[in-house]
Amino acid sequence: MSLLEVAGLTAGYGRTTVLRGIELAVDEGETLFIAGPNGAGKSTLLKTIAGVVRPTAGAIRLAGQEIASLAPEVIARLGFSLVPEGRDCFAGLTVEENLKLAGGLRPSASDAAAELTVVYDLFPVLRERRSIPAGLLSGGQQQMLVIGRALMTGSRLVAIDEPSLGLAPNIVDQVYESLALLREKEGLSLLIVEQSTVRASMMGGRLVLLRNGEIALSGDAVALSQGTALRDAYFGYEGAA
Amino acid sequence: MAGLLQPLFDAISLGSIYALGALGIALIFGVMRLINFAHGHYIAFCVFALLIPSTEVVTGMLLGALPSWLIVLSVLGVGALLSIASEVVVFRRLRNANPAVLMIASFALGIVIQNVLLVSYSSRPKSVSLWPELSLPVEFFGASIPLLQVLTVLVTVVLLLGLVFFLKRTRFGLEMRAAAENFTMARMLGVRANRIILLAFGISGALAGAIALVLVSQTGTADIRMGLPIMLIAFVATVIGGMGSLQGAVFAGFLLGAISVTLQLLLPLDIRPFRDAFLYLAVIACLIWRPEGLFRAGPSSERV
Repeated sequence: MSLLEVAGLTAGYGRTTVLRGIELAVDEGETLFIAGPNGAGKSTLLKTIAGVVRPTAGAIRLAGQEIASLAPEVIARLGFSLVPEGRDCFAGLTVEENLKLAGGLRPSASDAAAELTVVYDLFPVLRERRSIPAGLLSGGQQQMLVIGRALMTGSRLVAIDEPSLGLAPNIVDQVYESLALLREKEGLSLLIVEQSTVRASMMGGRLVLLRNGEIALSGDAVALSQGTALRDAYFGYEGAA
Repeated sequence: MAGLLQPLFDAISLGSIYALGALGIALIFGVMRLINFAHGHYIAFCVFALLIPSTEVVTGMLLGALPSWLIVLSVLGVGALLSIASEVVVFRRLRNANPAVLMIASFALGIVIQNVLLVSYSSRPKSVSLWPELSLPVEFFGASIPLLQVLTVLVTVVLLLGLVFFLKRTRFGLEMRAAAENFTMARMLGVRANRIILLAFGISGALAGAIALVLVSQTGTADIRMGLPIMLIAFVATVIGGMGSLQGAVFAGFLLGAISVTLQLLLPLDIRPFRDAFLYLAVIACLIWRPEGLFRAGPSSERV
C-alpha cells in the first residue's frame, strides 16, 4: 500500500477546472517530483491534497485513509505536511514560535522539544536566530525554517512547492542537500514540485510531468532526463520527435 | 501640574475604552477578516443584562443585584456568550462568503440585537446606579480624580497585560497569532480553525462586557444605542492602527482618546460641539499619510 494515493482527481476554482483525472502514488520513503510549466496545476494539486482546495471528483488516500474533502487541520493531523510556494512562514512570529506552532501536532510536549533540537542541529542558523521574527530571515533561511517546520509536525510525507523559487543557485543547492539528508536519515517521503526537471534528475526519484492539468509523462527522473521524450512532453510537441 | 493631571486622566480613561473596543474588533478581524459591526450592540446588551427586562422607566436589577465580583464575572460572561453565539448562529455559516457579505451580516445581527433590547426594555434610557461610590474623587498629586477613572485605567492595564500574556505565553495565544497572520497556513499546521475562532469571539465579547461595565458606571444610564459611538471610534482605531494589528489597535485607541480630550480642551467654546468632526479630520489625514495604518500587520492573506 502506498503512503499517498491519488486516483481520478479532478479539482479547480469555481467553474474553472484545473486538474483532470490525476493518478499518482508515493511510497514510503520515496521521492516524487512533480514538474511542469506555469499553470499546469502543480500547486493546485498540492493544495487539493492538503485540503485547501476542494476536489470535485476522485479519491485521495493517506496511509489508506480517504482524506479528500477533509479540513486542512485534520489532514495535517493525519500526517501530511505542505510547505507552500513562497515559503509562507509567519513573519511576525519568532523563528522558534514558528517551529513550536508546528510541534503542536506531536503527541507530547517533550516529543516536540526533542524534535526542536533535531531541527536546530540540522539548521544551526535557525538556532542562532531563534528569537528574531521570521520575517527578518533571508530567503534561504526562511526556506530552511519552513522545512524545519514541516519536520516539527512529525509528518511522514512532506510536500514542498517550488523550494528553489526566488533563491540564489548556491542556496538552492543547500536546500536540496538538506532535503537529501532528510530522505536518507529520516526516511521521509517527499513530494517536490518544481518548474524545471533539472533538480529531479540531480536528486533522483520518480518524476511526474504535469501539463494542462493532466499527467503527460511519468517515470524515473534520471532515465527520463536522458532522452528527448521529457522535453517533448514538457513543451507539448506531440509526435514531433 | 495638578491642572494637567485631570485632562491626562480623562485622555487615558477615554482612550482605554476605545482601546478595549478596538482590540475586540481587531481580534475578530485577525482570524476571520470580519469587521463585526454588531460589536457595539454587544456592549449595550451587556449593560441591559444588569437590569430586569421591563418597558417601565424604572426597573429592578437582574445581574446588577449580584455581589460586585459576580457582576463583573457574569457581565464578561454574557458578552463572551453573546459573541460566541453570534459566531455559531451567524458567522460560521458564512465562513466562505466574501468579506462584504460577512460585514453586512454583522449589521443585520446588530439590528436584531438592538430590536431584542427595544422589545424587552423600550427605547427610553433607564437609570442604573451601579457602584455609585466609584464616582467619589481621590486625591492624586493635588488633583482630585474620580475613583472610577483610576479604576478604568487599572482595569484596562490588567486586561491588556493579561491578553499579552495569553498571546505571547500560551499555546492558544501562539495559535491565535499564527491564525491572525495566515489562517490557511496555520490550519495546514494542524491549528483547529473552529476552536481558535470561537476563542477569539469569546475574548472579544468579554472585552465588550468590560466596556459595558465602565460605561454604565460612568454614565449611570442604560440606553440601547450606547455602544454605537464607541464602536464607531473603535473601528476607526482598528483602521488607523493597521487592520488586524493588535498593538496598532490599542495604540490608536489611546491616541484617539488623547486627540479627543485635547480637542475638547483647546477648541474655542462655540466650535467644541463639532469636536468629532475635527477628530475624523485627523483620521482622514492619517489615512492619506499612511493608508496601511500606523502599525502594518503581516501580509493579510485571504481566508479559505
